[in-house]
Amino acid sequence: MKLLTHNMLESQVKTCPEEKRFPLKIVATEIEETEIEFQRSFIINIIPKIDWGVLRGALEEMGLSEKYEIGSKVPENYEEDETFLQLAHHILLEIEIITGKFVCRGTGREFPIENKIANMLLTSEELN
Amino acid sequence: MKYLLVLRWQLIDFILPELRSLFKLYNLPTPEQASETLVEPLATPFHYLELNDEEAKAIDKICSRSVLIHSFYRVLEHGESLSELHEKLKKLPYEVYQQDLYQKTFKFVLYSFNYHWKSKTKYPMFDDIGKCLPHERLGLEVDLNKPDVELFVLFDYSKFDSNRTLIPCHKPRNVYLAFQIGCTGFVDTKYGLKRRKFIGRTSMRADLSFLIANYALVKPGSLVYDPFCGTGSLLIPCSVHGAVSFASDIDWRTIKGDQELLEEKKKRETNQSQSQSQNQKQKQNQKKKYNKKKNQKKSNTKEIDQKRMRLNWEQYNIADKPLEIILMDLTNNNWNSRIKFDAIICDPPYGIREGSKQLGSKKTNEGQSKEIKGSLKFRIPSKKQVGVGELIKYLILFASKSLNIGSRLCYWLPSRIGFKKENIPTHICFKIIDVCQEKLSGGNMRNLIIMEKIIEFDPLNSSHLIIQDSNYSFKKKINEKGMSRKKLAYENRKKKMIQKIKKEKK
Repeated sequence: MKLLTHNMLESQVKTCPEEKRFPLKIVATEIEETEIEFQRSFIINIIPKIDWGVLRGALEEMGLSEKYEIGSKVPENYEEDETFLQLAHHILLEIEIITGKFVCRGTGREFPIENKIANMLLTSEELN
Repeated sequence: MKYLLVLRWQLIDFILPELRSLFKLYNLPTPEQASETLVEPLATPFHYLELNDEEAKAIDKICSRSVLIHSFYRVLEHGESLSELHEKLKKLPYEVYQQDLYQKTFKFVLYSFNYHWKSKTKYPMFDDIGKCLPHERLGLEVDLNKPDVELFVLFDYSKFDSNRTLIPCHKPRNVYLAFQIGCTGFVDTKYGLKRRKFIGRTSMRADLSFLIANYALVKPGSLVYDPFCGTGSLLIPCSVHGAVSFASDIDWRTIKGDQELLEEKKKRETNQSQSQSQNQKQKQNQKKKYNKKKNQKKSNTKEIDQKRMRLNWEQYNIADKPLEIILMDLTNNNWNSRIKFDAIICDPPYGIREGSKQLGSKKTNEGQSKEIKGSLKFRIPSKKQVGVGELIKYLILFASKSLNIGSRLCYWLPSRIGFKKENIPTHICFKIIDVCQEKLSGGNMRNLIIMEKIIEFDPLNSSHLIIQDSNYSFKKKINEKGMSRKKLAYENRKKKMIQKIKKEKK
């Protein structure tokens, strides 16, 4: 599970209040850093769409906030900042949660992650 | 300059939509503008194009990812018959030959469509063409093993009857002498299902999945999502083209492979064998040893058989392309609509090989779902059947909210033969670009629908999805007696058996 995907997912549990659905809390037990091909144009396009606060929170929850320091805002002229683009690429695509879980902030419902695959399926009682 | 585009003569309905999509992707004018013959219905696989250098380069790039283009050539000369070609070649100024052929070794290569040249006639034909070239002045020499230049002689013998099927023909429509620029053909050999490590019941053929990636305008850095991924066969071409792929499916067995089940089984088997062996310890020591050996053998082969979706990504050397797999139900999906996708491609389950299902309980009153807890680590929530039409509705509504403007949604729609294009579901946010129909066995067919998002979704006006006929499905053929063909055959067999038994009794 990549942090880019974490930035795109929200909880769908019926009893969860609207404002607490996003973001999901991360509990990571095993993290891997893989190698993904760097695509400049993709990273430049995706950066303005990322919720930067959520990404920072995710790094904190995984205990990586000291290793990868990112500011609370995207720096100006980030398109030309090569080191920033590489860092963003690494954080968004290369940090991978192997096992762990997502936790819904509103209800405490746990969504297990195993083998990089998150299980977001709900039971019929929890459906909207 | 004059160029020649040769098409692969298969999936004919799919050719022009592919060309249109690829021409759009590489910012070329439409195929209709490039050549008068590239219009529906296609009359020949050979198409003359008048292009400048930049356009020719773009088409060369297109060739590298196209499925239905066979090859691409720069034409030296062409004629409507061999003798006309001879005459024209003799008249061609020396300078035209000089730039490509001066002091070179060469060989002729034949490409003939709808006619088989026997070697008896083939080599004299090559000789005749060779005689028309100013070979002495150019210093041309034949080298069959390692030529500098390959001169292609292309014959177009295409002829069709009224049903638009090919019929034999002995007089060529056109003869071309050309240099090859690009040639395709990697899809079947490299990505074919036969050699793929992990496939399932619903894996899409390699050529069709590469076609869909082209229709969806997938390019490096595109965010592509397949909500019914199965074994991920549709996303392989997207990763090959450098996209960021997201896969989700409701069925955890196809996604995770049988790995978990296998481990579970293995545990059970070893437990069983242990308990069994304890009981039999005093009685049969030899048998226990045999059992153990057997179990070891089994578990070894199963470890090799571990099937996973990412295996394919490793097999095709695209493991460095981002791929995210999630267990999710499209009808209750977890995407927030902030980040939008650049393409949504899918092969929805029609209920033949894989049932169309959504989360929820069949029993509406009780609402109790059967769950296997603990042992499998994963919970299996209850699912209920949904119609294909219903599923398509969810799909289009989801796409209308979560696609960028100008992005495409491609999906397969099942139907009976005779399905009209007017019956395709429409949505105010989408424009239907193309519909490609493929006939299947038993009077069924499937339609590949390519839609493009043209305006943003407006939550105030949510009633703009029009589904003409919600019964999109392969329906069983019903005869006069009201029985399906299968049932009828079964009844007949039963009758014959009864008669046989009666005769034997007599």
